[in-house]
Amino acid sequence: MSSFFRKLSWLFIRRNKEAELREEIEFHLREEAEERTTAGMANDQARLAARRELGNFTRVQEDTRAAWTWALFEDFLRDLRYGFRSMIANRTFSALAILSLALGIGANTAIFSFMDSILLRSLPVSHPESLVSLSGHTNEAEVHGTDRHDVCYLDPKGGFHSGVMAFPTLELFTKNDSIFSAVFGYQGAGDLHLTIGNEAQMAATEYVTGNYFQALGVPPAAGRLLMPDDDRFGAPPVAVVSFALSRRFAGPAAAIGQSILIDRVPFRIIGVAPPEFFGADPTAHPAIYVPLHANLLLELHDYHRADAAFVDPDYEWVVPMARLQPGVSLERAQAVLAPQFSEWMRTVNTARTRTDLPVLQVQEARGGLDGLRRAYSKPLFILITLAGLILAIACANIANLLLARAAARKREIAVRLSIGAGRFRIVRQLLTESMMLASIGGAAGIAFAFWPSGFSRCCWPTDATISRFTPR
Amino acid sequence: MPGQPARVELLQGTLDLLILRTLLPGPSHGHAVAKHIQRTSEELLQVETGSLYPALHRLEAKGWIAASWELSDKGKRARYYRLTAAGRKHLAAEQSKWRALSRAIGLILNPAEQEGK
Repeated sequence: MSSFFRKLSWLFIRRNKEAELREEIEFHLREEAEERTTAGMANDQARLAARRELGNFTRVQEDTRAAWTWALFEDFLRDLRYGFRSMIANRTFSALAILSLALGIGANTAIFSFMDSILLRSLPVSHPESLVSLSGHTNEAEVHGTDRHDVCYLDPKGGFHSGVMAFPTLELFTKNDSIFSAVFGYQGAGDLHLTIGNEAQMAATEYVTGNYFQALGVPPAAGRLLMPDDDRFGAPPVAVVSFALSRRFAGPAAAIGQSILIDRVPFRIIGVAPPEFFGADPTAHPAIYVPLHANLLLELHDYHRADAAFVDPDYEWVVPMARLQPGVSLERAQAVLAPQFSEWMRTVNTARTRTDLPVLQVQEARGGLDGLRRAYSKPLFILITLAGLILAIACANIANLLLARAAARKREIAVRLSIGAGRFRIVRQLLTESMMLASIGGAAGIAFAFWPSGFSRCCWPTDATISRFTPR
Repeated sequence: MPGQPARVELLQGTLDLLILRTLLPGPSHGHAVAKHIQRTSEELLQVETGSLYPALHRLEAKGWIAASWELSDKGKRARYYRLTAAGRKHLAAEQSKWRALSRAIGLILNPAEQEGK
C-alpha cells in the first residue's frame, strides 16, 4: 500500500487515531514515571517529571497529526469551513460581493458569447478557410432584384456593395473549375406559413442551390440533404429541415418522409441538417431549406417572373459563394474572374447604365456572410468595452468592501497572531475566503449568462435572429 | 543536571535512521525505542518525546514500519512497532549512505586534527 492510500484510509478513522495517540503517550508517561520511581523518586514527583519531560502535549499531537495526512489539504478544508461560517455571519457583505461579481461576469460572458458567434467563429462546415463570397461593387446604391439577406449595403469605403447576382452568373463562375471546386448560392424565402399535421406556424425558409450542402461539406443529422438533382424544373418538391424543427416530430429520424405544407404547397422532408448548422449567413437560422427552383411553386402568385429568374441576366437575386480549389489564392481568383465577370456584364446586362456595371469582389467568407457582422460589429465592440469597464468597477467595488472588512477584522487577526498563528497561515485564510467569494460569484455569473431568457433578452430587442444565439 | 554527560544534538534526519536500526532486532514500543537509543549511545543522544512520536507516525505513513497493539512484558497494552520489508531495504540504503558520509567527513577532519597537534 502506498503512502497516499494509507493516508487516505487514515482520513476516515481520524477519531480512532486520536484516541490511539493519547493512549500511546499515556503508556509512555507511565513507563517513564515507573522508571523514575524505581530510581527512588516519590510517586507523584516521578509522574510530574515524566510529564515535564514530554513537554507541550498539544504540540506533540499536532506534529504527529501532520504525519497522518496532508497538512495543506487539512488546513484548506478548515479554511473553507471557517470562510463559509464568516460568509454566513456577514450575509449582506457576501451577497453584495457575489451579486456584483455575478453581474459583471454574466454581462461579459453573454456579450462575449454573442460577439463570438457573430464575429469570431467560423461557419460550422468543413474547411471554412477555402470558402469565398462573390459580390459586385458599384457606384450607385441600387438593388436590381431581391435581397432578403441584407447583403446589399453602402460600402463604408465608398460606393455600394451588391451581394446578389443573377442566376446565370453562377454558371459563369462554375465554368472556372480550375479556380473553384464548387459554386453555390442561396437566398431567403422569408418567413412562410408552415403546416405540420394540423398545426401551423411561421418558419424562416431558405432557397439553396442543389449543391449547397455538398459544397459546404455539411453532413446530414438524418436522411439525406439536398442534391443537384432536387434543384431543377419539375423535380418533386422536397425540403430539408433544421435540427430544431425536427423536434416537432418524434425526432430527426421520424421527420424523414413526412409531408409538410409550406404556404399550402406540399413538400416532403428528405433530411435534417445537423444541430450546429445555421446556414451560410450566421444570422439567418433557417428552419427549412428548399431548392432554389422551389420558388416556382412558392412564388407563383405574387411573383410573375419566377421561371424567368433562372435565365434573366438583369434580375439579381442569388447570394453566390464558392469554394476555392486547393492552392488557389483569393488574389488569383480575383485576377482571373474579375475581367470575365465585367466582360459578361457588359455583353448581357441591359438593366444597368454602362457607368454602373459592378466590379467583381472575391472575399474571404470563413465566418459566413456578414450581414449582422456589419450591422453589429461597432456597437458590439462598444458594448464589450463597457461590459469590461463594468467588471473593472465591480472588482474595485469588491476590493473596497474587502478593505473595509479587513479594517474591521483587525482585532480578530491580532488575536490569532498572538495565539500563535503564522502570518502566512493568516494570509492563506484570507485568500481562501476571497477565492470562495470569487468562485461563487463566477458560477452565478455564468448561470446568469446561460439563463435562456436572461441577459441577452433584457439587453437586445426581441429580434428573432438575435435571441436565438447560444452562449458558449 | 549534575552527573550527566554532555549531550549531543541529533543531526537533522538521523532520528529516522536510528529508529529503524533500533527496530531491526525485533518489535518494540516507543518508550523502549527512546531508552534503547539513549542507552546504546552511552547517554550521549537523548530522544525528545516531542519528536519521537511524530517520527514514528511519519515512518508508519511511509510504510517503513507497521504498528499493532500488544501487551508489554508487564502486561500493559502498548503500541508496538516493527520493521517492514520496505523499511529493511530503506535502512540498508540509509546505512551505507551514512557510512560513506561519515568516512568522507572523517577523511577531511582527520588531517586537520594532526596539524593542530
